Amino acid sequence: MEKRIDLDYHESEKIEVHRGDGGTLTVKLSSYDIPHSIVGSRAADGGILIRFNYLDREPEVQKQINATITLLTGKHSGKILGMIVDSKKEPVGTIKFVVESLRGMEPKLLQENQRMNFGVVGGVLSRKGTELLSAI
Amino acid sequence: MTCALSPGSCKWGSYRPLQPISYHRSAAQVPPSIDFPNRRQSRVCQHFFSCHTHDMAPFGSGLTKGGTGPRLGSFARIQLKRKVGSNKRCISVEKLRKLCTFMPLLATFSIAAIASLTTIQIPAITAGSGPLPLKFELLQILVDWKVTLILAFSFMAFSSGCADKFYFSTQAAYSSMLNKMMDTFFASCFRNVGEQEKYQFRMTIFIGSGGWVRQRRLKPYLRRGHVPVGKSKTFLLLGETEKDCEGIAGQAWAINSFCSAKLPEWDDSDVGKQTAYAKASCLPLEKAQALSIKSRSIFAHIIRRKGKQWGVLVLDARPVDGLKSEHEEAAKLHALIIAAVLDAQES
Repeated sequence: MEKRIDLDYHESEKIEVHRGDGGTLTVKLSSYDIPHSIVGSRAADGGILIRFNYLDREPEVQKQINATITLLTGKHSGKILGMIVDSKKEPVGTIKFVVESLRGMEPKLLQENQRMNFGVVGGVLSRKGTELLSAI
Repeated sequence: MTCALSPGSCKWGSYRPLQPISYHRSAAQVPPSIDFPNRRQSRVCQHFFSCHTHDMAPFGSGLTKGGTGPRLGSFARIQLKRKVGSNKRCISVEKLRKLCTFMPLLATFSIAAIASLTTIQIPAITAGSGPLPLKFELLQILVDWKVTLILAFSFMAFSSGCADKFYFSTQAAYSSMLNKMMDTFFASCFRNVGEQEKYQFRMTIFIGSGGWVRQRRLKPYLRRGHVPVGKSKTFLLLGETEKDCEGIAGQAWAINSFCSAKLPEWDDSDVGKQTAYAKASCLPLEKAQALSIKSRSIFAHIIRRKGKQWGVLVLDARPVDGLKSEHEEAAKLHALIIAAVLDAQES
């Protein structure tokens, strides 16, 4: 069973960070780092596979962040392309755990685009995660 | 000012006489930053600028085969080839490609010439006949080195043919494609800007280069919009952190994202304002002073190739509120399209 949810691309575009003296420099997410849809499905081992679709293609690398979550991130940009969650909890509890894990990682990330992407993905999961997991 | 070239009156590769047309431009339409250091350059600027304000004269396309920008007179073209430093890559690729196309032909002729010349009978040296004439001595050298020369020319023909087929023809095709795309991007991005104000806007693709021997940097690769002749030599140094990267384009590269900046006013006589401008634009003061155009509104969007940083698309405008949200959307969209084209090239 697979469930796909289209996301509000323009909502994520509005996220911005001001820098420089008097905020002369504004940093926003690039169009490569904003997911336009999210797909949830069951992995072969019974875990939950959540994929984030972007407008470009990038090779992915796997990174285990804790016993439950394995992140699939972009090889060069570090953005979240997907995640495998090995959780037996009900959808609300699972999503809450994933979002908290991502928030915990954000300050440790070195790249600004990665931090913003993690923020967007966390926000998307908070809003749509329960709906996604309930359907698969 | 009267005197202009009719756009498209001269085709690349087949020069037809220029058909001068006349139109009048008031002094207000001439951008204030253009100065003509000498008479020759003045003529080039006049040619270039007169085309430019009407057809968005290209930074690269007018100089390379397949470009769709306005055609310049041969004199202006030669001058531009010499002056526009940041277009060097385009030109050098084009030149190498021509060389590679020509090389197999040259090698074939050379092999045929060697084969026919070595059939000539060289008179035998006999006692008392004296030394052979120079032409026979040269012929003897040719006969001695016949096999080596034929092998060398065959290798030259093969390697240049391969280079042309597998590298240069693809590079030239994509260079030409990017040129045409930039024309369309610029036209669509600034479609709401009046013809007389278009000189205030520019669109540039910077590409990342270096990293092995010299410091990594961003070099202008293609540009649309107003470009003063002989002054576009700016490159932006890149470092490990954002602080080490120069310019707003450098910040977009370091952050690997989209950056926009509103810069303070530049004043030639006020060092304080110059310092503020340099600081806001993340440039050393000397580099900021060397800028031919002091843009006050800049958008920079990273261009990725299979997820890896490849270059930066920069939109800049002289008015502080020159760039708006519609331009931001256009920059993001164009960066995506360029990335898709680059990915297609690789695959």
